[in-house]
Amino acid sequence: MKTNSNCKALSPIFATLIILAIVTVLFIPVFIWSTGLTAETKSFWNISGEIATERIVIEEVNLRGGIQNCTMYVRNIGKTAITASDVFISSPDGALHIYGKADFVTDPDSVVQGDLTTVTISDLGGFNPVGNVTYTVKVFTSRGVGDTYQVVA
Amino acid sequence: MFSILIGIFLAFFDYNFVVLEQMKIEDERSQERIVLSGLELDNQTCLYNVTVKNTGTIEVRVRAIYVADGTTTAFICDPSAYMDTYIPPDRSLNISLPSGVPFKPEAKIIAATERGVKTKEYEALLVYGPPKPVWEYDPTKLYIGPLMLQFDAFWYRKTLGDGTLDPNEPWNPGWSIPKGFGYCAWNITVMNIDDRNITINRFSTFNVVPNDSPSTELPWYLEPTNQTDLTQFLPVNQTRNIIYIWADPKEASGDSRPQKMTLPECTCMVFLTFFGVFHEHDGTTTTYAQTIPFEAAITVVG
Repeated sequence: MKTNSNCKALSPIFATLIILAIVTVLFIPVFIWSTGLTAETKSFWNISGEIATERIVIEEVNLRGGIQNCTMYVRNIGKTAITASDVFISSPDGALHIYGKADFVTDPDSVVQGDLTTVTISDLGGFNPVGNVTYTVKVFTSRGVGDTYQVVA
Repeated sequence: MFSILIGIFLAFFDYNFVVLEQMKIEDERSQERIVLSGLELDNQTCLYNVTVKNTGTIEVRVRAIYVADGTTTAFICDPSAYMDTYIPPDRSLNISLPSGVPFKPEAKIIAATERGVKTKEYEALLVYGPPKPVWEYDPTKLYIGPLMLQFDAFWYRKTLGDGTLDPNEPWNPGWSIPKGFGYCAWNITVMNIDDRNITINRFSTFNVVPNDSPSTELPWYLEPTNQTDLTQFLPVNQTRNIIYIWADPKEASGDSRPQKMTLPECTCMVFLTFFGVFHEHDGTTTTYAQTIPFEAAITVVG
């Protein structure tokens, strides 16, 4: 019986092309996934770096008994430019007074390393500081970095 | 895939770098320390300039001056805006202040650096200095007991072999005596600050104790002013000189020998011991004894 040893379903070239095509098609979702992961990872490290290098110090606070305004002098001592976004003033009795970006004015709005920004709350709302009482003032930046200062009104 | 890994590593190393930078900033901040050391006024009414001393180990830059009084805390100026406010370690800088800042003795002046390190001090303390402590003790009048020694009235003088004062020699300040001086007398000044008269007897001594060899102490015994009973009377509130001459308590027979300064070159402590009686207000007498250590030592010099 005669056998046909030269019988092939596909030529080697065509077979290789098919394999390449399949691999390429399969790799596309992997590529898309890994690219996104890389971007997220890079973004994570970048934000972490900014937070790690963001540092503020409250130098002085002008908060006096019976006066319905408050001025905080905040210095940026980190490498990242900062913007003050929240101010918390807590009383010895535990009452917490929260002031958002809309409640105060910062001058200048954003400061770089070494510079000073003045945060002025022109109206403390229902909070009326009492003289000779110690209050705790906290200022936070837009990335959640903050500093604490105790002041006797 | 290789480029993806490179990107991730670059992001990580960039993070690592900025964290190290921040740690460096924190380290520098921990080395910063400033103090306010002076404040000058303009016509005694306004602040003129403030002196800031860098007591840390790193150069600082003063970026803010505040004044806080009872009613407000105010930002006065950023001196770096109009002058060079860098201060090297262990150096001071006079920082000019804007005109028109009133001097308030009770207010605090505050200086802050670029890294957020602050110092504050009362304006009055900077202008007038710290208050002098109330010193209740006059160091020239230290005493415990009824006889008060006047430390600045203390002399020695050469004596002859029979104990009489050498008429050709003056009294010399007692704090330093030449080595091998020979026979000498000591003269101290005391005041009776008790409310009772005192009589001291011939056993009262002036003891010189070398610091290096206390066992070789030399006593000088009293030369009594009353040669009958060999005592000396010290009335209330009166200053009297007491003279010490003798190597032993003086004898009524006159058979006494004067003490000789035989100590080598050294520094000595001096102790005065007094023995005698108080004359009480009711006419009786009670025993009296007192020791006065000198606050300063005498020196035997070569």
